[in-house]
Amino acid sequence: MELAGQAESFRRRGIGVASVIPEPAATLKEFAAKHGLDYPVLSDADAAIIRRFGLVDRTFQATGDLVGKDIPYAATFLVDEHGVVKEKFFEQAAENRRTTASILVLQGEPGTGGQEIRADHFTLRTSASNEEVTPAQRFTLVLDFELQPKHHAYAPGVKGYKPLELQLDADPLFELHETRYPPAGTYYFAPLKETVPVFEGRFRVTRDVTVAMREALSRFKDAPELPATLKGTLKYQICSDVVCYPPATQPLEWTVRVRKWVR
Amino acid sequence: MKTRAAVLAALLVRCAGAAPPAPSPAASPAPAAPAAPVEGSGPGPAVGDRLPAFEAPDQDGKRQDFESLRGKNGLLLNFNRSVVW
Repeated sequence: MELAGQAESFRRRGIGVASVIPEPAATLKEFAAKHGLDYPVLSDADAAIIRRFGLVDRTFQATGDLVGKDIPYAATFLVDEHGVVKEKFFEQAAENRRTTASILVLQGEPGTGGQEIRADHFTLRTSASNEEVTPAQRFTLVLDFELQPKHHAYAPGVKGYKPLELQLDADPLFELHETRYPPAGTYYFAPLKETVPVFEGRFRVTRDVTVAMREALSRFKDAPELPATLKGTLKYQICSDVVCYPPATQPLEWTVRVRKWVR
Repeated sequence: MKTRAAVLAALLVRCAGAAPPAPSPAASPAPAAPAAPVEGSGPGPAVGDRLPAFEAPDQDGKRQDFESLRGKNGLLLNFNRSVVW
């Protein structure tokens, strides 16, 4: 249970943590003790909760002990103190799971590992939600920027300037998702009477990556874990209130360990 | 973790094998679900919805509901398919 290592971080943010599993309470007691779970695991043995939530996976083809049982989609909801859904995490592929560490960094928590890059007009700290991942896990690469005052980078959709773009090298071990940018600000450049979408000051860009299960399993052979490096290039253009610098690139890399489920 | 391995092996076969059976319209949670993960969509309550009321015993037999589980800033509620995956 990857959530076990993250529950305290959620509680520090004032967010309670609970799981719902369609198993009898006795099974869950054993399960929670085995994994040292310190948060409530709710027994939905009659599937009443997952039915009421509309979460029963009707496409699931049960075999063995599971025949006749209602199985939920592995969805995760982040709700506010009134019970209103703020964010919902759900993977179409039944085997995939977003890590809860990934949900944490999407809430602004710092990532782990990475490097600090001091470029001419900004500092970039890279990190990742998880340093260790398992096949079919979706985790998050993090880029924390701090631009010099009175400087800006360009947001996607800008015309005439090079927008911030993270290109990652293709690797069959990793399924790459879309880059997430913060909301762009607008910058009015009076001499040209133009308004452009920009990022300024401190901001975070993230990109999710899913460990491709079949590729990982084919690479493990007898090894318990695989070292894996995601390589890529950051493309950008920085301008100040008075001068525009030429478009530039910065090589980046993230190293994670991909391990089998059982140690 | 034998069960988990078996389940994942079954999934692999499903991924590798023939086209999945067409879900019946009544049972399908989403029409023509795309292959790629869709953030914030999918079955169950949507962003902006209030969670349905729920109550169940936890692993220690204690009755829990939204009010007993939430922190001052809310709740992370995670659904698992079983204790093995």
